[in-house]
Amino acid sequence: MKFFDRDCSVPEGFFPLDNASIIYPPTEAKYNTQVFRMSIDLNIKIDRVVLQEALLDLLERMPYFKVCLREGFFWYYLSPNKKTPNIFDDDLRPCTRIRKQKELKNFLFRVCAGENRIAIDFYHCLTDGGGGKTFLLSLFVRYLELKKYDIKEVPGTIRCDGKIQPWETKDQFQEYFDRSLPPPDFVKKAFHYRGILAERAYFTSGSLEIEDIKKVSKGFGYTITEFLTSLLIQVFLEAEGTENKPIQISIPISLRKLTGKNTMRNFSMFVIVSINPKLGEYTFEEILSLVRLQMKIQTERHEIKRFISRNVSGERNFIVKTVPNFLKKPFFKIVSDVLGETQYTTTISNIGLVTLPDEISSLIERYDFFLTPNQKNPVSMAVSGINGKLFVNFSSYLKNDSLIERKFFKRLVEWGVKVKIHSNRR
Amino acid sequence: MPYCVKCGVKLEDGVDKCPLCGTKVIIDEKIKPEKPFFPIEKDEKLESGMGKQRKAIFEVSLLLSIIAEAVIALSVNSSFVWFPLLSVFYAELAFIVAFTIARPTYFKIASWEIIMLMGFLVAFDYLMNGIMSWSYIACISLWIYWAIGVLPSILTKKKKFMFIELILSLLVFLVLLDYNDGILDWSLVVGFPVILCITILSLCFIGLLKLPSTPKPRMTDYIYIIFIIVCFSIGFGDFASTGYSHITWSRAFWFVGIGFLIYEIVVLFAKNIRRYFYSENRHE
Repeated sequence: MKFFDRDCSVPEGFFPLDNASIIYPPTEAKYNTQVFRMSIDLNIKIDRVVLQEALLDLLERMPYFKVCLREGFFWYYLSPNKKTPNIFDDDLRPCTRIRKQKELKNFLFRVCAGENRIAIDFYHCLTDGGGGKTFLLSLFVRYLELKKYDIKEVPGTIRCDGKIQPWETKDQFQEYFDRSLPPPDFVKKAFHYRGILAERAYFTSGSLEIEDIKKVSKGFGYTITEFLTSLLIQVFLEAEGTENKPIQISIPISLRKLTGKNTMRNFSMFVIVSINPKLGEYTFEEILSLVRLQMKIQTERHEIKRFISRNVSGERNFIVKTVPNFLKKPFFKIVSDVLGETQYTTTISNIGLVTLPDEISSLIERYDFFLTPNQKNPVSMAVSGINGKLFVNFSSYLKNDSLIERKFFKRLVEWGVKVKIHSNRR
Repeated sequence: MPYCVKCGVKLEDGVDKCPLCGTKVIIDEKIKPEKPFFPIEKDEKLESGMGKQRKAIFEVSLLLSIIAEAVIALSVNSSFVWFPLLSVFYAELAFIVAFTIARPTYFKIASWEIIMLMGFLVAFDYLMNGIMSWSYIACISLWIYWAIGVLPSILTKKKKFMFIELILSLLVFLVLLDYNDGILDWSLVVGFPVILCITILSLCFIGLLKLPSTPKPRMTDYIYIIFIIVCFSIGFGDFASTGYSHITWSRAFWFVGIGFLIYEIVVLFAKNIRRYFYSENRHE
């Protein structure tokens, strides 16, 4: 049994959490489910038996996903799960809670199959958006292989016939730790949009043509992420009662592209973009330029290293290491509040445009990505795209309040972008 | 494909209203409704359990009480060690009750906590003295706090009822306090007349403030009125305690009360004088 070996390829008994996911299990609670969903809608019907087979094959290849979460004396850890995961009906809303759900048999993901849909809810402890995307696409590729489709090499997926590689389970954060670096500057408290919370999450999905949105964003001279972030900031600025507190948007950035290192575990950081209404009114162009500037500064190589070093130093602190887990749990909750939720107004996560070979992408109609918001920041937004379409998915805990979503899509329509809305606010 | 005329967005076939603004959509019955993108949930799973912050407070309190118990058990070397141990345990129990059974309203939490505190005081008194002695006064004090400070929180819309409840609670409190020695004496002679005085004065001032010619009262008006009522009530208490024959030590209260009453009436009704004391008319 390999104890405390961070880079062990095959989890045996004890599989330590990566640096980013240490915070997730002790802070999981009502309105803090830490679940995200990735789903693909196909133009072919899904055969559940074959999908189950594909899932088992993939888990054989990726044993680091066939795990359950356990609470140790000092830390939470992952441990192999010998049970067989089930495929569920697609009759649940996205991102339903994963921890402590009996029917999931302690697995940290939930695969749902609809008539034309494969959807996977991931508990964030397991992986991040990048890893989730690879897992979902690998599952789909395996499914197609079993269905006798002629599939060649698909970039960004893992084939079941290969062997597990060390990079897949590596906690890449540890590579970037430098004790000598000063911590990042403290971020001010952000404005939090308030409202009556519902006992469940609501989702509103807007599908747009990428050409339309590109035309508008290129008209301003900015990328789609910068444009959508600025638009959301403006919508929040227009919301009543900002109390002159800064609107701060948290943008998760995958470090895979920035560092050139890959992993199937969490490997992302947050960029916080801030606009302070106390300084006066901002035009949309000013917001755009500030967003670009702040994103550039914070994704600079040294800043990334500083950010990662701060997070890893917490984990390596002697006191944190030696204090039992039951004492650390409340401490982590406070830390996640102070260094997390209080710092931002909402989250925008953009997993980008999914590019696949024609024989596969022609089968896919939609690629959706859903996040869960939290109690302090009850609205969040996830963006994904495939085959010339962009999907902007809002998730909200607010009861009977879709003001942010409405203003956001209405503004897009005013700019000539055609938007189609789907929602489970019925 | 249906559109929302207000938001300008396309909608799913078959929806009857826009999910963003709630505007009704005219359904074309010829078009077959498409399969909804978000499945219709078979059983709506609601979020359950405690939120993160609540959980954190709960865990911290539990940890602190465990540490406190351990410290007491190891450091106190006396036969009375059970008392601090029990107290900490009871405090934690009260905290758990506040966080679980009692939430979410102030009324529920405060009521549960007062009941638990009463139980603790009675048990402590009984264990120490073998009878219920001082805890009787402590309990009725807690009860009057509940009647004055907690119960009105659910009666905010029934103001008349709240006023009657406050006066009656004060009366009952005085009787219970007086009955501590087994006989009713001062509560009937002094307490009742004083409360009657407070009631009459309060009603008079309420009437005065409701007159159409009275300007919108400010916080200072309320403070002065309460001060006047307190002065006259104390003075009247002195007057009642001498058998309504003469005033002894409370002469100063009467004078101060009369002085403030004249001032208050003047600033309420003389607009030109009021503007020197309040900023409302100063810039006209």
